[in-house]
Amino acid sequence: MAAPASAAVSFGSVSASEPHDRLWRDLKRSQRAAQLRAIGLILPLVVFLILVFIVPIGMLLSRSVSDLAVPRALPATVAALAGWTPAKEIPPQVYPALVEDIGSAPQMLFGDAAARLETGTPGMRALMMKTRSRLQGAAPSDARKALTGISPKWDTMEGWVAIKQASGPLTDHYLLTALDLHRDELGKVTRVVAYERVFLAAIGRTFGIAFTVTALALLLGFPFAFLAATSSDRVSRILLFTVLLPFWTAMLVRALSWSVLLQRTGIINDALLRLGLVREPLDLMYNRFALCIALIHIFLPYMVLPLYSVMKTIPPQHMRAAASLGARPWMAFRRVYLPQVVPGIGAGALLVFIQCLGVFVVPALLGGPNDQGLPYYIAFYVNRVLNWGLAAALSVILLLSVAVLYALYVRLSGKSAMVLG
Amino acid sequence: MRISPYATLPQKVGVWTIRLFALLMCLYLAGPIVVFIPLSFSDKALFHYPIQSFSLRWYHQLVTSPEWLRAVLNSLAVATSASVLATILGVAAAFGLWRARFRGKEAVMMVIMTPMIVPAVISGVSMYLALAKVGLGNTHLGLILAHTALAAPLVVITVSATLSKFDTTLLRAAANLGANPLTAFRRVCLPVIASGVFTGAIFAFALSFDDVVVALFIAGPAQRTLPVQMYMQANDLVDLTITAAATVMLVLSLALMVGVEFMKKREVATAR
Repeated sequence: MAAPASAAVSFGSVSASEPHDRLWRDLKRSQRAAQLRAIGLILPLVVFLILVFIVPIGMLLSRSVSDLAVPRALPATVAALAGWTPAKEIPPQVYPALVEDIGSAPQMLFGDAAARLETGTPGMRALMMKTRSRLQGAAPSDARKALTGISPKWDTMEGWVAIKQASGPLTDHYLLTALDLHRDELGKVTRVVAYERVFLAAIGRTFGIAFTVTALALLLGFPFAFLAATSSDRVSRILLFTVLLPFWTAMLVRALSWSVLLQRTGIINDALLRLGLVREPLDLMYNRFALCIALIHIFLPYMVLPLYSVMKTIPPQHMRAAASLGARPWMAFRRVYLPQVVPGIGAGALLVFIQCLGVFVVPALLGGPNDQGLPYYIAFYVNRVLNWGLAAALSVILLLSVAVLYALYVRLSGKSAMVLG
Repeated sequence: MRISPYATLPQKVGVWTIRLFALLMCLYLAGPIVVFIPLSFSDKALFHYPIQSFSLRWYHQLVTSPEWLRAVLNSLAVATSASVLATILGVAAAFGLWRARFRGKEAVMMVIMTPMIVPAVISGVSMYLALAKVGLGNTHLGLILAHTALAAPLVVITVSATLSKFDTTLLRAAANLGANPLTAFRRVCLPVIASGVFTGAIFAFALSFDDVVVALFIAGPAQRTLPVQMYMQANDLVDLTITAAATVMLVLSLALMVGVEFMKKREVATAR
C-alpha cells in the first residue's frame, strides 16, 4: 500500500499566499487515501470469502439446473434427437448415433450418463449397461436391428424420451424431483406416483418440526426470560448462567447428553426400572419426542436471550401505570407489555426457526427415520447415492427458505447479523 | 420475584408456581449437560448409574489411543489456525468497514455474513465439492480454510461492536502527534478494542472446535477432529471414551465462556 501524504504534513506546506482550495485539495486527497486504505483492509476477507465460500455455494446450487452428463457421453445421439418430439416417429439416424457414442464414450463418462438417465427413468442404467456390453465396441451395419435385438425397449419411445429429456445443458429435472414432480413422456409436468412422493413430505416435516420447537421454546422461554429480566440481580444472574451454559456447550455434546439420558439402558430408563414404574425399558430415543425435547433444549438460548434483552428495556412503571389506570393484570399485560416485547418474540422465534431448518446432527443422533429433515436428505444424496443434482435442488429449497426468513429477521430486528443480545 | 406482604393467596400461589417453573427450567437446561461427567470416571463400560468404582481409564484411553489422540490434536491444530486466520482477516475487515464510507457497504456486509446464515450441511457439501476440485480435499489446509470462512464473520461482528464505541478523534490525535496509520492503529486503537478482538478469537476457536457437520464432509480419516470422532462413535455403547471427550469439551467451552465474560467486564471497565 502506498504511503499516503499525511494531512499534518500538507498542512504545514501551505503558505500564506496560497488560496484555501489548496488546503481543501490536500484534505480531499488525504481522505481519499484513508478511504482506499480502509477498502484495502476489507478486501482480503471479502475475496477470501468469495473464493472459499460463495463460489463453492454457487457451484453446488448450479448443479441443480445443469445437466451435462448425457450430452458429454452421447453427443451424437443428443444431436440426432435435437429436432425430435415424442409425438413424432423415432428418427432412424439416432440408432447409428447411439452405437457410435457407445463405442467412443470413455467408461467413466458413460457411467455418469447411465446414472443420470436412471434418476429420470428407472431401468435406464441397466438398459444402457446391457447395450454397451452386448455391443462390445462392434459397429454393426444395421444399428437399429442390432439395438432392438439387444433389447426390444429400443423400439419403444421410453428410452429415447429419457435421453431426450436428459440432453441438457440445463434441466428442471432435479428441482421438479425435489418437489415430487416429473415430466411425463410428452414433457408435461405431473406428480410422481404415490410411493415415490418423498420430498414434499420431508419439506413439510422439516417445517413442522421447526414450528413445534419454536412454539414450545416460546412457551417455555417467555416466562423464563420475564423472570430473568424482573428478578433481583443475583437470581437473574443464575438464570442467565443456566441459559448461557447450554449455549456455549457444543451442540454435539448436548445431543450426546440427551442420548445418555434417553437410551434404553440410559439414566431415565434405569431410574424408572428401579422405582418400579415400568417393567420394561421404554423406547425414548429415535422418535419425534426425543428430537423435539433435545432441539428445544439446544435452541432455547436463542429464544431467551433476545426476549431478555427486550424485556430488560421495559420500565416496570409501564405496568404500574396501566394498573393505576384501572387495567386488570391480564389487560395490562396484553395491551401494554406484550406489544413492547413483540420485536423480541419475532427475533427469537425466527432465530430458533432458522436454526431448526438447518439442523443435521441432532436428528441424526436422536431422531428416527421419520424425523429426518432436508439436511439429512441433502447429505444422503451426496454420500450414499452420489446424486449431486438432487442434493443441490434440495439445497436450493432449504437455502431459499432460510434466506427469506433471514431477510424477515433483518427487517424486524434491524440487525444484519444473527447475533444475540 | 418477591412476594409482597399484602399479596393475596392466589398471588402467592402464582409466585410460587413461577418459582417452581424456573427451578424446573434450570434443571432442564443445565441437568442434561452434566449427566455424562460422572460416567466418564466410571470403571465400567455402561451408561448406568450408580457408578460402582471410579477410574480414569477413559481419559487414559483419550490420550493414548491413536485414533482419539489424533482427533484431539487435529482439533487443537485446526481450531487454533482457523481462529488466528479468522481473527487477522476479521479485525482488518472490521476496521476497514468502520473507517470506509462507500456505497454498497450493505452488500459487502451481506457477503461477509453469508457463512453465518447458510445451513452447515450446505456449507459442508459445497466446500467439499470445491476443495476437492482444487486438490485440497482431505487436507488439513482445506479444513482450516473452511473453518476460517465460517468463523471470520463472528470476529467481524464482535470487533465491529467494540469499534462502534471507539472515539475516532483518538486516531486523529495520534496522527497529529506524528503516528503513521499503522502505529496509530497498533498503539491507540488495538489496546482499546483488544477485548473485542479476543472475544472474536474465542468465538472463532469455539466454532471450529464444536463443528461436526462441515468437518464431517471435508475431513478425511487423517483430518478427523474430536467432534467428528465423537459423532462416529456415538452409537458405541461399550467404549465410554466419548464421555471423557465430552467432559473435556465441556470444560473447554466453560473456560471459553468465562474468557468471554471476563472480556465483557474488561470492556465495561475501560468504557468507564
